[in-house]
Amino acid sequence: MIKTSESPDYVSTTNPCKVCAPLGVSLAIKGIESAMSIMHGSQGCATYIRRYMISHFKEPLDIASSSFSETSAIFGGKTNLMAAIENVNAKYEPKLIAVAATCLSETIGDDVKAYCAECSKESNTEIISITPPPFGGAHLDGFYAAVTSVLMGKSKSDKVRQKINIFPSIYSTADLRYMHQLVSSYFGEDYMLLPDYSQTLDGGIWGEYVPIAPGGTPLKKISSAHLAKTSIGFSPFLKDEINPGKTLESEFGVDFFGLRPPIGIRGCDDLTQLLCKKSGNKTNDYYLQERARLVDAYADCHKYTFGKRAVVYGDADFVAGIASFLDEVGITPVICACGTPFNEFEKYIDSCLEFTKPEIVRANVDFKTLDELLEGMDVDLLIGNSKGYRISRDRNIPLVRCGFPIHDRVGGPRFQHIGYGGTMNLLDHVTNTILTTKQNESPVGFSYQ
Amino acid sequence: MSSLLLNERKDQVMIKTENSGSISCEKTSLAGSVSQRACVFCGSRVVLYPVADALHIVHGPIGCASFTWDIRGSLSSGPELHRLSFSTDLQEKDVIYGGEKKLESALEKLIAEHKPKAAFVFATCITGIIGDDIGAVCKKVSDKVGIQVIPVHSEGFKGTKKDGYKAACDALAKIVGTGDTSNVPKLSINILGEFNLAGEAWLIQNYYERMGIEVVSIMTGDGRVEKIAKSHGASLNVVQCSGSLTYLAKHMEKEYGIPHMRVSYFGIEDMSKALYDVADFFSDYPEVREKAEKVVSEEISKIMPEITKYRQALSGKRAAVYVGGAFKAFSLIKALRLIGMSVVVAGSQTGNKSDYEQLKMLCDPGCVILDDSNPLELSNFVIEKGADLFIGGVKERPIAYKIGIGFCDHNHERKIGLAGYEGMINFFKEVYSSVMSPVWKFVPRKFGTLREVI
Ligand code: SF4
Ligand code: SF4
Repeated sequence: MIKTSESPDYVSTTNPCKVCAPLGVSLAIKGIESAMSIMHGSQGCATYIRRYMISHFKEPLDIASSSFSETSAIFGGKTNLMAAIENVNAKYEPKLIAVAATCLSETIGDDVKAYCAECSKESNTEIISITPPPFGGAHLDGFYAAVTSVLMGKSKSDKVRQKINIFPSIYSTADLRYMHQLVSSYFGEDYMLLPDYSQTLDGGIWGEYVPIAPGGTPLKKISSAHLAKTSIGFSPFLKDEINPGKTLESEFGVDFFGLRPPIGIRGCDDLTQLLCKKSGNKTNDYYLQERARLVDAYADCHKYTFGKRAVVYGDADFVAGIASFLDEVGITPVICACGTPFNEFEKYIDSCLEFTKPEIVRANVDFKTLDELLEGMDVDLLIGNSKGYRISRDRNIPLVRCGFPIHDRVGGPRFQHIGYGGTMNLLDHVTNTILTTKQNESPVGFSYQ
Repeated sequence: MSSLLLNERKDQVMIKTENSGSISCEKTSLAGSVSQRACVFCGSRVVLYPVADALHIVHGPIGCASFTWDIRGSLSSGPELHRLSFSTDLQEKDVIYGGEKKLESALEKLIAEHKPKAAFVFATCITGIIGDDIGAVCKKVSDKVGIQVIPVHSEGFKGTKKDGYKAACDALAKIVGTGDTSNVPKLSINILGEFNLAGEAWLIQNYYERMGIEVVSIMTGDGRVEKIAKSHGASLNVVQCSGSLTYLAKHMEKEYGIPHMRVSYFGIEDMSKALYDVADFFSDYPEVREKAEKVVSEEISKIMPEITKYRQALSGKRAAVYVGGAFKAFSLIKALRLIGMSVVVAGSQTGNKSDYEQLKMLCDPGCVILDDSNPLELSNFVIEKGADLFIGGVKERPIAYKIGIGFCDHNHERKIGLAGYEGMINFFKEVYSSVMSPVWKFVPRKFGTLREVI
């Protein structure tokens, strides 16, 4: 029986495989044009979140805080929030402010929603409150809660601006750029990608410091999201209230398709098919060729990958995507682990696999548990974020770094995981890691493979 | 300047001139100003972190623990328990019914498993609000398991990072005095406020040992509970870093009559002074001073040729410095002067009035002095003053890079030792490789964008 933070024989969460919801909120808000987020709580949360994300993105990440003092913690943080909004308005001049509740404001029962509504009246800036599940919820929940709240909270337009809404998960900036290219090859400009931090968190050097980085999902498109015909999302397991696509469907009748992650041939094909169908356009040559090259690369690599055993950890949808790709090249994802509670995780992973079967599928694990699960197992690879490095080092199992966060290498946010192209990157990365190990361990060390 | 600064922040910034007045500081961060500060918990966590054979458990929701897992580059020569992140990972029901039971059971099980020499329990904002009696839980567990289980009152909102230092000192004070001092010699000191980043504490300990002085405990650098416990046997406390460990030094002075002195190990001047001051303290033993002189001259002669080389290359370059404690800024200004570099922007997160007075005296006319600043202000002054280099912590790095200048990390996450004589060379080498890198030649401010170039 696995011990989780909710069970009676719980010990402690040791080396967590998750961060908290407000981090996800601030990441999502970074992907919206001229938006700024305020963490409604003590200064520490905002600063820690900034530090954590800066180490991954290596870009400025200005996130404000309502800087609770002891008085605000006892009597409520309304005055502080008002001051924070005023100051952010003065210095950053955002068009949209998202206020995220933190554990602290939730615990003391601050009505963030009401405060925001009140402030909105007096301000030209749209102010939207986001109350992600504070405890137990993790960054992915915060991320989607932010997207959903902005969609619902933002003023609505009656002008149709897009046919389709795409709701990416916590993808890399390269992933988001790819998604733009792919979707626009079917829909031209008639689509919305929300959030889109491909430019805000991966831009060039500036002449002078810019308060809010350029880029992000255009606010106008967000206002028209309810008028689109279709939405696509890639995390089908989300609870309805934080599932942006589902919410638009139930409130405004926008058809929603929850796909598996677009990683691996089958995942990418699903997406491609849907885009074809909904746009009425054919897939262009570029993607046809890209897919053909991917299958060709599968063939080139299959001897090295077949029969290998990998451990995949991280956010549920990331794990599912990677596992489904591994499955296609004959690598068994022997352990699939995600850091947050998820009752149907096993079923979800199962639905992505066809040729291999994991030995252990487990939700709500920390790295300590993962390490214990690994005991006595024969494993060739670890695949996931930087936080698995300790296990990799202690157990001498090579780590293929991908996902979020990458704190100990450069280029994490520039690594493309999704689409045929991203899958190709993953394939190269994984196969070369296997080859490196083989070469290093070989007494002969051939320079041809 | 006026449009850049929020009204409430105007008196926290000044420019050094003949008659500039004093700066306002030690305020809580202004809401919405995107302060670079963290919280009380952060202050306590970073100070106690290097005690390597203690169990550190964060009593709160997961974020506070996630964000502080393995964040310091503090080395240990033995146990590495401090590098694991333990959290009670509070859930909604714990917040409703209280988290004491959960904490108690976590402590018992973790202590049984890891056999630490002591345990620190960090309070966070949430545990402060739900009113868990952490002290009572600690006492109960301590009685049962027979090691000290110490509450750290680090509720995030109860002040600034500095209050966190104080809470950490209070926790350490509970260990001090519990050990046996019978084998502690007269010629002995404790080193306070040194965190053994990249092994810096070992370097410094070695200098003192070459002077014939025993280091009883480095408290928070390669820290061990047993050594902290007998640290009250030392004759002197040598305190580095303005804020963090001064409270403990003062406490030990009052409680055990151990005097303390403030030093800095950064920069040749300050490093040598740190050795001489200690030697002079033991003036009854003239051989200590002789040995100190020998250490200093040996070490300096080793690095002098290199310094000359760096001075030739870097003389005339300008730096901006924004650090946690103001004391660090003093040393940086002096060290940079050694290679002919001037500091044009200087600031800190937590300086006090007298710190800023000293900073003002030390820096060149025209230097901008800032308290508890933020990205917008920092970047603006850095550009205005034409700095070639920014020295700060991780959160300042992207600011520097975005405006296209070099950056050196002088914070607790760095992996390069900057203290002592060797550290000086490491530092100059880093300054050199940051400032002289050809990459800055390509940034738009200097080279133009592609459209301008073609
Ligand atoms: S909850 Fe409080 S203690 Fe934890 S990081 Fe935030 S401010 Fe600090
Ligand atoms: S209090 Fe909550 S929001 Fe703040 S850092 Fe801790 S877990 Fe995250």
